[in-house]
Amino acid sequence: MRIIYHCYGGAHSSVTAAAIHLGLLPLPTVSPEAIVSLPYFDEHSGKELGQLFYYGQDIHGNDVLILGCARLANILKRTVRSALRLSSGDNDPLFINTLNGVNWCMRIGGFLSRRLGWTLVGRPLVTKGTLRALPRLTALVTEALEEHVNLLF
Amino acid sequence: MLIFYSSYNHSYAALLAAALHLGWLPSTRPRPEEILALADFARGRVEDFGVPFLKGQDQEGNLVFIVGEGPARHLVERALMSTLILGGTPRSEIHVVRLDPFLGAYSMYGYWLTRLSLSSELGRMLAAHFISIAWPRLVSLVSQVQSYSGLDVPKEDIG
Repeated sequence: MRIIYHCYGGAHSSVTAAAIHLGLLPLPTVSPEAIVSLPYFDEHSGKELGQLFYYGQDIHGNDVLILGCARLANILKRTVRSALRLSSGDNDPLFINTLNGVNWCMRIGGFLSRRLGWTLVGRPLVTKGTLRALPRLTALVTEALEEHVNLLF
Repeated sequence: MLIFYSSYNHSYAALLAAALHLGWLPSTRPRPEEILALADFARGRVEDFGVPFLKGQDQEGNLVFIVGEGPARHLVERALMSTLILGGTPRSEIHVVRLDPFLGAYSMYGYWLTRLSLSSELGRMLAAHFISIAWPRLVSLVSQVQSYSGLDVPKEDIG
């Protein structure tokens, strides 16, 4: 199965949720460096919006992917769903919206870093916000996967 | 090859481009009635944004789709390309053609005329008329796509 974590820019909350899913973070104690070193964390800009990225495969063999949707998740989910069916005859992927796990620190830091390019200021701020958001993102991942029992890790 | 013609709403410029590609409409400027004879013309819904619809297969065996971008524009193209590639389709087998930058205002006039018209049938007629003004541009673009995808195209059709 394909599990797609999506958020606004595909750079912070979706990346972190995918990393939590794949066990890439040493929960519960995570350092800022561990967050920043995550693949794709605070990397994608507006040019990557809409682009689906492969993140890894979990222990059950499910593919984990990330997607930045801006405010157009409804449209892009339809596109991705249709395209997957077309290319690989896939059943419906599982879409998990990580925006509910985002706090203001992440929003402001992400905007400064990704939209304005002020990474010196924005990156530490979004990293700090992500660390604070870890319990919420972990709960979000766990709750979403509990609905599909066979996907639990 | 998978060919996707995309416009704001799939049932306007994209549908006409696909119809032209598949030989359902002539390369000379069609009468509005010929365009209106396409049952799907100007009947796309907002819920269809982002969904590619298969319209047929051309003589080279290429599958021709239409897709409405809605406000998502470039994002639908990126989502299509990246998802198809991740699903195993070779990059060289995917061709997304965005029509709105090419046809400019003609396609949008048609769309909004239909939305704002008191009668949907009047709106469809006006949309057909406006898009047909841009017919030579559409023919030129579709000819280039056909040439790229391996179809034999008369030289005079290529702009």
